[in-house]
Amino acid sequence: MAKKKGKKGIRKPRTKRNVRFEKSQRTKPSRNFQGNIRFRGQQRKIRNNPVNENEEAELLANKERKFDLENVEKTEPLSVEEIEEINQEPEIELYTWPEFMEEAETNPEPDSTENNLLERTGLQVFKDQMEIIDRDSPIKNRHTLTERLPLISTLGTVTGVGLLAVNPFIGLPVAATSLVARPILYRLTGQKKLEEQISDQFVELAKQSLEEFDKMVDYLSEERIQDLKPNAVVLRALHKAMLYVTNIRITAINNTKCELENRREEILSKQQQPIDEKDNEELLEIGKRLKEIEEKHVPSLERRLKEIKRGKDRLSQNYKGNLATRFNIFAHRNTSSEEYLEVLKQYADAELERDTAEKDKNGIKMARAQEKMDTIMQENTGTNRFGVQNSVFNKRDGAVRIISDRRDNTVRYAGILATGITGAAITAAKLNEYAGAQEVNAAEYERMINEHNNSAVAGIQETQAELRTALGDLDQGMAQKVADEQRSIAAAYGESAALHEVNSTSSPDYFARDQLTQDHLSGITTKITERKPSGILRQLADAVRARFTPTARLDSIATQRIGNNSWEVDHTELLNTQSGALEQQKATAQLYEQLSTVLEKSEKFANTKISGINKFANNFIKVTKSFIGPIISGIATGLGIGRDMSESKKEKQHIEAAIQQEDNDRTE
Amino acid sequence: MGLKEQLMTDWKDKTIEYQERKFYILDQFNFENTEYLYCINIDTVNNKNPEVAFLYKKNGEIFEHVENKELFEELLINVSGRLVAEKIEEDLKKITNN
Repeated sequence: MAKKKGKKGIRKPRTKRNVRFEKSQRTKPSRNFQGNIRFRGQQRKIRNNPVNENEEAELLANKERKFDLENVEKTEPLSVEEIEEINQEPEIELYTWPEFMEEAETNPEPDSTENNLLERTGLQVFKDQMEIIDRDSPIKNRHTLTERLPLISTLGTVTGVGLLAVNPFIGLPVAATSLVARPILYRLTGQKKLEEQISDQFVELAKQSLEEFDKMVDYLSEERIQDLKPNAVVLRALHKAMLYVTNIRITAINNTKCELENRREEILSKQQQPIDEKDNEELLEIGKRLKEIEEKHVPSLERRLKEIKRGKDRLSQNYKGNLATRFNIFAHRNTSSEEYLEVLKQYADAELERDTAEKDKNGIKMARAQEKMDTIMQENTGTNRFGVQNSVFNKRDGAVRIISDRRDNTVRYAGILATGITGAAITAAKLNEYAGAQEVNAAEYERMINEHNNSAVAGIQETQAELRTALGDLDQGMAQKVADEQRSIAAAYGESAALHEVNSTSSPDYFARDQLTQDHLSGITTKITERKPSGILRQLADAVRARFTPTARLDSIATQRIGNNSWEVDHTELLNTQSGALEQQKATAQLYEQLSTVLEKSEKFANTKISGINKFANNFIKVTKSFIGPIISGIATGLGIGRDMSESKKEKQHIEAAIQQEDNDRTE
Repeated sequence: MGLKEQLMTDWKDKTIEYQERKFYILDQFNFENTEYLYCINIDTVNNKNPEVAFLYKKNGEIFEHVENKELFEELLINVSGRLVAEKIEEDLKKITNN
């Protein structure tokens, strides 16, 4: 429901975006021949008498969708005072979050289950919005001229440089103009104005129905934007609207959060011991709502905005010419709204058909409708003879398609651990197989080697020599430091757990709990006594394992504290730090364990008399070079770095001690 | 496959869509004169046995995945060695830098 002017409301801070929005709203309302007010983007909605039956039906349909037009229509002729008031350009009261929400809540969508209607999907909302765009602010080809700027710039620069040779006074301006063409064209072609109009239209949708706005935004994920190829103007406008709406929503959420935190402080400041039942319940409720805000609301809003931003970045020359850093002068993804709408309607209708069939449990009809959707997508996907993708849609062809180029450390780390463990298991099995065969058939291999003047033996000898050299580089002393580090982290976890349990280091309970950690640590060896790489890795696995119990205990305490309305200390950060740490430690320990097994097997080879045949030798070389080699060099490099670090630390300590000594001498 | 995919040279840490599944590329390497992409299905990362694949360019144009079991194992041994070495190095750096 649109908000009437003059209604009291809390004013928003005048950010750049708000100022521009206010300006756009302040545009003088024009009057049609019947004396009705028209605001920008609402011309058709507020017309008093529909011109024909179609428009009347359309308006009725809009009403049914809760596009409440009654409040924006003004059927009575305006009085002189009213006209003067309009001419004075009164301050527009902007929406603030509570009103925004209030209206969305008091203006719910029709219950589809009650009316036995299908729930409107994001695609249907998008189609409706495209219809409004095509009707009120149609996008022509000229509006996206700036999206082809690389082509224009290139041509302009080439012409300019060419003319420079003839006459610099002509060439220079042409070349310079081509470089600054974009901002000029952006205004000249009317793209800027159009984007603002469409952006306002999307904001209006959010005001009328946040649910529908969210549905549309959720539907337009980065992948779907690539499939459906919405016009660059629409994507830019949607991004602008999203920034505006998200900003309001996040501000409102932060206000709510602030209020909740203040209330919590207020209750806690009463200093009553123990806190009564009512306050306890309220604190529990506050904790629950704060958790919901942190974990659900804010991330959800940020994710939506990110999807649209990424989708927007996929447009035109920002698609980076299909290369990370270069332009693609052939990029073309913008079709006029008229051309686009025709296809989008067919596609959306097919989706509606499919959903209706699904509701009716008609499998055949549903499958046919799905096929129809695919066909529409396929028929409207294609490139011209120069390879320019100039179709309305962009159907996935089953081949590889890049959907994101951001590094994701969570997936990366989990993937490496899983791969490492699987790879180690396969390698161990292979080496076992070769070792077994070697032992059983040693005599046979010896006989064959004698007959076989093969170069593979030389290869295997060389590989084993490399392996022995690499294994010899492992430093027991540095590995001990790594293990000690693990042990001290475990001890710190234990102490932290004890502190969080009893909230005081002077309590006897604290000492009792700390003793638990000490007992746990004394039961686990973190002493590196082995000299062989396999032994070192196994003992490192034990050192990592030493952290399991204290971490799990701390994790459990943090969870418990958050659940039990901890008012002494905020444990949220603690839980976030702990979250997932235990699983990662377990996987790391398992990986070291597996590696140790693999190395043990490889050491066995190193100590065995060389024997074998071509195939065996080649397989051995492959496995050792492919798997063991990199790991050994990884460990050796890692420990080498550690050694360098350790030496430079010692050097630094030495210098600091010397300076201190000098200072002391001077003082004396 | 679009022009971007045809011209792309550095695939590491990209998320791609292949056969209607989302894969994250963990490594790109050369094995016996063929360029392979090692990737993991994002939706199965937390499973006990995540889905992984080796992709390579066929005729320099379209991507296909390795189906031969022996080659798959060889590639897995190769790539896991390199990735684990990378991880160990990172872990040790992290610890020694603290």
